[in-house]
Amino acid sequence: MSKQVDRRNFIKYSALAGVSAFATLATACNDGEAEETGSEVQDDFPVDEKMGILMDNSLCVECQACRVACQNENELPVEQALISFKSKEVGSYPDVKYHFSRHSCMHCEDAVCKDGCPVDALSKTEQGFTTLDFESCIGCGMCEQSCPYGVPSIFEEKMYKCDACQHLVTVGESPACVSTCAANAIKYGTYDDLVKAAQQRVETLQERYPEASLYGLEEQDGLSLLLILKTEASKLELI
Amino acid sequence: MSITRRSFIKGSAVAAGALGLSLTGLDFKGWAAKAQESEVKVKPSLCNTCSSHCGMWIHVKNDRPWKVTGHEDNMRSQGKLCARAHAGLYWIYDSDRIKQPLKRVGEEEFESISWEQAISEIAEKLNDILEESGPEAAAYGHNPRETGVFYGNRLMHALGISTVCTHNASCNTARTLGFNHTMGGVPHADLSNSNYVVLIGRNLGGGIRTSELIEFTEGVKEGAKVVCVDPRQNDSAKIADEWIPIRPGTDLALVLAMCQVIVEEDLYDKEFIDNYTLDFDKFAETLPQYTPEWAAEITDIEADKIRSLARELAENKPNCLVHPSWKGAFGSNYENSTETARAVAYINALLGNVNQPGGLFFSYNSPEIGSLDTLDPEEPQTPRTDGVGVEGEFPLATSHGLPHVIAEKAAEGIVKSIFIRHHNPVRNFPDYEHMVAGYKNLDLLVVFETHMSETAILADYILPECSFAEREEVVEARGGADRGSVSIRTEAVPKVHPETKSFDEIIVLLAEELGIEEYFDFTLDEVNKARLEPLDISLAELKEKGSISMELPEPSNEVEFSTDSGKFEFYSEDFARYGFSGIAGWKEPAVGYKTANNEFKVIHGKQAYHSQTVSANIPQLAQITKDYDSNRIWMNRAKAEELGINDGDKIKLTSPIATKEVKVKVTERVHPDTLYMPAGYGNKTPYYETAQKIDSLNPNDLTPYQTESIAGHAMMQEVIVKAEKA
Amino acid sequence: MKNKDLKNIREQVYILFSNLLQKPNKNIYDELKLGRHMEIWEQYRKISNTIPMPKIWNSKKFSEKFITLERWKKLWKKSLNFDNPRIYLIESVYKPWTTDESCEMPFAKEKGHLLGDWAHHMKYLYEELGIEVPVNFAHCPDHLVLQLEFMSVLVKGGDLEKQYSFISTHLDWLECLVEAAKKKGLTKLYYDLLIWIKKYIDTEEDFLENSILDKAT
Ligand code: SF4
Ligand code: SF4
Ligand code: SF4
Ligand code: SF4
Repeated sequence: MSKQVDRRNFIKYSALAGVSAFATLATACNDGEAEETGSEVQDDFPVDEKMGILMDNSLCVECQACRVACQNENELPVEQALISFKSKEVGSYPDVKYHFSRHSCMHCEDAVCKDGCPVDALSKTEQGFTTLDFESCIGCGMCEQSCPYGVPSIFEEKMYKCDACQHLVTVGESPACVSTCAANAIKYGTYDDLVKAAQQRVETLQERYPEASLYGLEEQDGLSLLLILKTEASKLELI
Repeated sequence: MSITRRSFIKGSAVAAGALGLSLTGLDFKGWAAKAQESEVKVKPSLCNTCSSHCGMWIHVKNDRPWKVTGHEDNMRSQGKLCARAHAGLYWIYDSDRIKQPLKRVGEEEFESISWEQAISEIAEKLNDILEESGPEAAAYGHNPRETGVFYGNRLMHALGISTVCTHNASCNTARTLGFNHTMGGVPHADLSNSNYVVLIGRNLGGGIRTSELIEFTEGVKEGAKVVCVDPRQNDSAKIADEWIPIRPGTDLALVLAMCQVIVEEDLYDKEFIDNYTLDFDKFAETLPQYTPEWAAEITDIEADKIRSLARELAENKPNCLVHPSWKGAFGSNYENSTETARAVAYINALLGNVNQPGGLFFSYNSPEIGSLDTLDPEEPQTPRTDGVGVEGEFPLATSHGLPHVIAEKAAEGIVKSIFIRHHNPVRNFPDYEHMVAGYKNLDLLVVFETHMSETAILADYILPECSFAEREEVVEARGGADRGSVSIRTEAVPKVHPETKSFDEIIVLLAEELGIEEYFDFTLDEVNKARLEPLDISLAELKEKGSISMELPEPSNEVEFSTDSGKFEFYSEDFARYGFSGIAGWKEPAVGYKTANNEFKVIHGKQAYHSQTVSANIPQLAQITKDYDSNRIWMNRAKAEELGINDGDKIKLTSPIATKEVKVKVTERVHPDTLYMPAGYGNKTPYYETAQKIDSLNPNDLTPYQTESIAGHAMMQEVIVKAEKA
Repeated sequence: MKNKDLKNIREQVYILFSNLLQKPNKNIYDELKLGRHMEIWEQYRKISNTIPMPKIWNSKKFSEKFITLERWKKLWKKSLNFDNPRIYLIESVYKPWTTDESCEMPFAKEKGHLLGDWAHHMKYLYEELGIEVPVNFAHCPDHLVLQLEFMSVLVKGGDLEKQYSFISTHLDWLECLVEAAKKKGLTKLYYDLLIWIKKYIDTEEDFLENSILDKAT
């Protein structure tokens, strides 16, 4: 288990019980209609099943809330962001399309980053995420070179990348980026549910955007970060 | 041989040489390890990084904040928060906060003084001014939220001062005025249930209010067709179906032509027009001139496009809308903005979408808030010095007031005293030099602030407020479709600087010194208890939960307008009475709609991770600007090629008032006549060191001081610049 | 020199430095004019000959011709005044905000913020001892003026290990302070004073370390 998980266990939330109590209260006076908006009850995800993060780029506005929430949640230096966006203009004025996608660790099933690490700091969790033992990491940059997506970033002799908020998901909570997004663009859930939801969404999108696609079912034996794109992945130079 | 001991630390242990202290106590590491074991508590608050007041939980450990999360039971946040909320915690411990009352002793030179001295000197000076020149010589400016309105306006009214201004003349007064004089108010856009949405300049993904972004993206997900009209492809356009670039300041022509198509082709909601509107015929008579071909020449949008847009929109009536916007294209930007707002109201009336799902709602409810039974000052009858409501000046302008006109009156010596809170007019209105000249000429400028803003550094007295996380405020209520919430700011962390005070405390001190304490004969708790009274919620409960949500009656579908006639008014008697056009019609922007070859119009708009110029100093947000190089001005690629300008080059912009340099982003995503500058850069205060690292152009440095004729707003985008490679 | 004298003189030096950083007044000005501080320093130099007093602090400079009381006050206000100083004399500002591993604030490990762990530990020390500090130090219980004075109290108490513990955890940031002073162009009077204090603290640390070692062997 990574160091961060142990560390979080020190935190004792005295009033947290109170918080969920309000949530129930709100639902209660809502006559059970709270589910109407599709908002998940975030506190009881399974902790031992294959999980995933579904990023719907057709709803994202690049507001950067996820990036900053992630920085706070994961105690990152101001200069380090685990989420960035890659974008591209296609066509010319006025018929120009702006394609973009979240860029962060894809949590590859076949995580080649892991294979090259000389101190075995990277590993796959039961839930399917690629995590880093921060303490062991020597910042050598081997993973940076082997990752097909150029994700790992070396800063002050440590590697930084998304670890799917281990300290939250291992206790059944949503990652910070998911919780903060106001654009309905990021979902956390069991992998199978997400794949189903994603396929449905892509089908709907294809009515208006014939090139719409789901990225991540096959790549690197499957990615636990699934991307819904309004265009073909190749147009985004994801690989 | 010794030196007289001037001692700050006192106690018996001092004399004893601290013998009582154990070595373990001095061991920092041991202490820190123990401190780490402390519990994290969550304390409710309301975000302050923009003025939407989203509900949040501040996670606090050892009296210090750890992180924030969105509050589920608050209508504004609904459990979510934008980037600025997370980053805004920085402000609390920033070492550059104002810690003590400050008094000016020279150019940008301040001396710290006691509260007693500050309050008594301010009261004395204000009394002198009121006595000599009357209440017309004094004004108050703020960003109007519950606490500022309750305490600030009350103080002003008690003193007979009528000139109370807000930031809105640089934001949305034209929009509000136009809607008030047609629909009797500004409706809520039901984005989550709409089938067809036309956004004219409103950038829901960049000018974020969390709840609106939630609604908007729900609508998109549900399959609404969204069309974005904007000279630049904004953040909403990223997820919209279509981007229609338009020449800046010509939205009015587009809307009029769409109305023309809808009426000519009989696509409008006749029943709605017959039952709920007045003077439709007068409007219809004006329409034949506004053909799509006519509008195409002005807007640079093809006539067929305008036709198809009008038809598609009408096909979806009444579950469709043209967004009433905010600042967007017609909040305060152009000479024709008020007329554009009226025209947008017209087209929505033609669609008959009022109080219809996916349309515009007036019938949303809000929790019923009580009020304190106490001596209220009468609203003063003194004419407003900014000319609002004054015949011959701005008889129709809204009570939001005109801070830029105040600056002019201050320069003339007519206004002598201004109090400013949660507001930075000097930087955020056009023509910095003009604003500075006015504010510098005041006899008494008092600024309530946490940081040394551009307005604060000109103040005669700066009164330090505690930060949002350290103070309690007045209870607020927010409505919605069938739910609402009440919420409160609480003291989530103890005061960092003991000599800072909350706004209500300062106002009460001032009132006492000014001899009008009878109007402040209550505590903040009493105000809040009275507000909660009708809701059967105790103040203690609210302080613990921060926000409480509740069920409200479903909005009704019945149509009723708050105009004088109770109907939608195409023709405005008021407009006609003061010599404006009774029916809104075409009006050119002040600088025309076309530009010569090397000339451009400069437009601006928010990025999701900055709030005007107040957030550029927050390191996490400044880092985003750095990472994406996003403080550059956008120029159309073909135009850039013509002028020999490459991506990343510096260009020189010359406007009627200044020449400025700025780096360019060359892009296909902006109209060729237009330069788009992201808002939020160009701080002038020397105190914001982080902001200086991402310093860039502020369009207010190019736009001259001017006033629009109806709403009086600042015409933020009425400027043409010449561009050349620097 | 006897141990008691040594203790006494070290205590005096801490008080002196704490006083020199405070807002100037007539009393201390007169004492400087009389050269009291030079006497103290001479005494101290008998033990440790390494650090000369900066010339600008010579009592001769504190005259009508050079640094008048008015001018001194102005220099202080420009450099160190409490509310808008050119540089902060506050430990937290120069150290990571917290060492708490679970802190999720982005500036947890950043510098430049008030009321870090260091301040909280100082507060804890004052509370333990029932020491009161003025309310305007609430945002900076880790102000250098207080820390120097606190050190004088520890010296008076006589326990070398406590002194060493304090100096090595709470007065180890003066190098950053001097660097900041240089970068911000602090007036020479105070820049030299800060260097002077820093050198003294360095010497003290060595002295305490050695004394403790000596005692142990
Ligand atoms: S928070 Fe949501 S909308 Fe904002 S950038 Fe992240 S994914 Fe996109
Ligand atoms: S994206 Fe890169 S860093 Fe992440 S799991 Fe795959 S190979 Fe490893
Ligand atoms: S899952 Fe957690 S670590 Fe990964 S990007 Fe989201 S917030 Fe950051
Ligand atoms: S919109 Fe963002 S910055 Fe504004 S109050 Fe809400 S969370 Fe805070």
